[in-house]
Amino acid sequence: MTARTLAASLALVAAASAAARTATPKFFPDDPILVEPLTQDVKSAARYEPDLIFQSLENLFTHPGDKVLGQRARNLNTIDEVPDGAFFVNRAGRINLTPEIVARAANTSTGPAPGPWTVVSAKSDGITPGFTIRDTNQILWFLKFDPPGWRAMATGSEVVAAKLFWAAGYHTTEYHIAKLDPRNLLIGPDTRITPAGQMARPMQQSDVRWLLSRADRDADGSYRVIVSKATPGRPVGRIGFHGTRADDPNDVVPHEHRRELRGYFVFAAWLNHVDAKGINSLSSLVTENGRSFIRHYLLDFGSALGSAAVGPREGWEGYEPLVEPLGEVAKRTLGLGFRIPKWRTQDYFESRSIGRLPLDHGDWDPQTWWPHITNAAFRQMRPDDTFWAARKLAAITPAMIAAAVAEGQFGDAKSEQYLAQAINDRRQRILLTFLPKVNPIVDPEMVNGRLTFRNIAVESGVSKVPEGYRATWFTYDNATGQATLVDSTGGTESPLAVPPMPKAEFIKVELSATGAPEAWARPVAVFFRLSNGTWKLVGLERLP
Amino acid sequence: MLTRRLLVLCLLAASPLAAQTTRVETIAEEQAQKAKALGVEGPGKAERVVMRLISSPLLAARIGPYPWFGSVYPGSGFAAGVGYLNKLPWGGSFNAATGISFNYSKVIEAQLELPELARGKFKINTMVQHLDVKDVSFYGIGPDSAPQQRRGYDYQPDEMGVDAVFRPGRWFSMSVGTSRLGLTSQRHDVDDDPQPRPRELAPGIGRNLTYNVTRATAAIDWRPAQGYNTRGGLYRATWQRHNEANDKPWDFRTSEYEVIQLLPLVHEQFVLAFRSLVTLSHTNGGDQVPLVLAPFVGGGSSLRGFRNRRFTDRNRVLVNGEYRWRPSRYLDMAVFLDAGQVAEHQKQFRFSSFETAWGAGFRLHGPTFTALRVEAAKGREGWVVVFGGGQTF
Repeated sequence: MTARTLAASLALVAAASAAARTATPKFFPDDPILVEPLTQDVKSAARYEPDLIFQSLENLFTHPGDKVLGQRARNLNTIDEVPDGAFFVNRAGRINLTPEIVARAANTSTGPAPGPWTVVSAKSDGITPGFTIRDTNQILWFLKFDPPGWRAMATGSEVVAAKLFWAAGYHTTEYHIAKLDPRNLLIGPDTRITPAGQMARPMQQSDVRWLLSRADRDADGSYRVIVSKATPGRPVGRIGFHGTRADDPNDVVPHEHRRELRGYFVFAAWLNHVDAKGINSLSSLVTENGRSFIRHYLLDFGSALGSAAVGPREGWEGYEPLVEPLGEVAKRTLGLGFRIPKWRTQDYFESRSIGRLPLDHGDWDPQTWWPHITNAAFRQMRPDDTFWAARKLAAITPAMIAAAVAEGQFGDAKSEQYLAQAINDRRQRILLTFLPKVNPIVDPEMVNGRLTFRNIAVESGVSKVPEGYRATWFTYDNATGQATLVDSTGGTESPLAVPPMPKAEFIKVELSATGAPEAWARPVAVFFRLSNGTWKLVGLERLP
Repeated sequence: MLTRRLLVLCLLAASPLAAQTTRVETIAEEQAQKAKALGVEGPGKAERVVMRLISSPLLAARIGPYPWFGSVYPGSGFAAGVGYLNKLPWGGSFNAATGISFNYSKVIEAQLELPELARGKFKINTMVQHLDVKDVSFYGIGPDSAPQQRRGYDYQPDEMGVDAVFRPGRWFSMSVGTSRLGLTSQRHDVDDDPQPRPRELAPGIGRNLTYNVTRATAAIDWRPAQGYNTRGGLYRATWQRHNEANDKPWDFRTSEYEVIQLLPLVHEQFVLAFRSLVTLSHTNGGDQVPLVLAPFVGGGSSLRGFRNRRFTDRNRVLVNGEYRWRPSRYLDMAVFLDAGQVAEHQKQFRFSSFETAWGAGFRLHGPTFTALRVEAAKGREGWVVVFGGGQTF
């Protein structure tokens, strides 16, 4: 062999090696990851407050973000789940939630420290007032009120929604219902106020009185308030529902392709959080364990459930976007008004303590729910995203819902009872709508030579038991992605038998249901890796 | 030598050290790549344009100068100008504006709303205004005038006044006010009309009159807003006394009664809206009511389907009925029927004497305001297209 021939041979080997190196295996040894890695230190992040009007116009009249709809979410681990991260932490269905835990949610204290509260700033441009105060422990809190005549409606609804969003897995802050004695409010020496349309000036007691005059006041002169704790870290903006933050190196998945932001639609529909937009969130630069990163919180749920913050929920809210589709407007115009939207004719439950909600949710369709303004993540939502969210919701029990409602302290037993029932009914409608829309097989395991799994739609009582299940077995080459058919087994329920399998590190099983909704015939592909003599689940693809 | 180098290359290429071997490493590599090319989070070009537009005086009701758009006087068409706004604590404000319309009518005015007292229950407003209105229509006095008789006059009122408003409850309000009103006017047809009308057929035109005006209003208004409504009602009575300051025989009193009732149906999908308006003038002895202050019907806010101020006399009755439907929360459609008449004496009102008009139109509106109203109305004298900036009633 000449040196030239040897060199050519080695070059071929090198090329082949390089090719093998760049062909990424389907599964890495650390799959599935349960925590989204935040490997970069965020050294500087400027605060950017998106303009609400621009955001509204952008989402009402254009379609920002990825134009190609129907793509699978990109922040999933290999078992089709969202890892814990900056936007979301798996709670419902992952940790052992109890009603007590849901009632506590993000709270780590009992609220502001006793003693005077020093007003740091005030919200004077909205319809209902708000204060930022510092307690005697120098902790910053935000105070919000109920609109006059609607005691507990906005404050109670916000607490309930915050608890339940926390249970679902979103980052929220600490919320408490408290009583404010105006005499307990001190104006800080440097506190300024900018009345609507006016120049900023030092705040005076008369400003406090004026702001409080727009809030619901109790007979003893005190005010019921909701107190929320400032999130840790430094605020740097709001959640964007498309693209990534330019200054966050850890943010590499466009937000419209994050499943938890797509699935936010389902939770928002559940709690009628029609104001689910970027401005009602907060991105905060936090430092933990010596590393700085941006965490994203959901905030401001005053326009949820039966509350529209400044009054009870209007009938259209949740049924139509802020600006109705032009085609629908044209039909209603030509119909001389006799094309009547459903929200105008249905009956409502209304009370001063919880606001207004449909009386009966028996035929409520969460697919037709509308936030005021939709966003790119909601537009990208697919059936596997809504299934993911519905599955989380299935793990939030009526007892947890009742515990969250009790935290609202509405002081009106009949309304509280109705509210809890309405939240339960909406939950049930969501499960009924979204769980059966895809193959609902979950939690496959290989135990003692048998394949076990659960059917979450059947377990939740929203689908009939299918006639049977079929499993098609393959060996799987992790390097090439080649699946080789071995056999198929079947049965009427879990577990299914495992056929004799050739020796392999990976196996793939395609699981489908027969005698069931059409979507269930599309198999869920699950992947197991042989590890220390046991088969460990490493992959699950519901809708690749 | 070459062989050795290639061997090294081959080994390096096959080395696991050069590849990501875990999922975390793969993601970390992506994040490291992004870290090399970070940008600054901030508004894009389109957002900056929108923010600039929103904060401009054109749209932001903020302190300082602003472009003024509106109407100098009913019938004078679209007008534009500049204004200046200053907001005071407790709901007070100072607002001044000047503008000119397409027919060269001009306005210069200023309003001072003093801060509210007693939590908004009591308020005092002052105003000063000068108008120079061109070519106001006049078809003759009484219900029998003909459209061919139209003539125009120019009109320059100067007014300075103060009003006190008391709202003891949410719906009920009372107000009293006084003002000094100077009127000058000029007929167009004095020189060129082949058959000039006697001066008394255009009462007060061409005269200089100065009035001390006093007025009082009591109203129950349970409509949710002033500018756009789908429910509630307004029941109003207003009395005015015009005393000619120089004892000229032009003293008169007016009493006006208005009832507006909105009947929402099917959760406000439909609204039946009704208005009746009666204006009565009273004089002593041989005193007269000047034409420019006399009640009239005709125009976009009264008897649609007839020209502006088409019928004028001392008394008027106006009835409007609308069927409105709401295809959108920002768009209302309406078909309507208007009826109105004027008469020198109240006893001359006859059911058979009503002029009627019908039509249809649309309104673009927000929750509390009507931004644009476009209607086509037909009366016995033909079609009239109405463009307006507020609700009819």
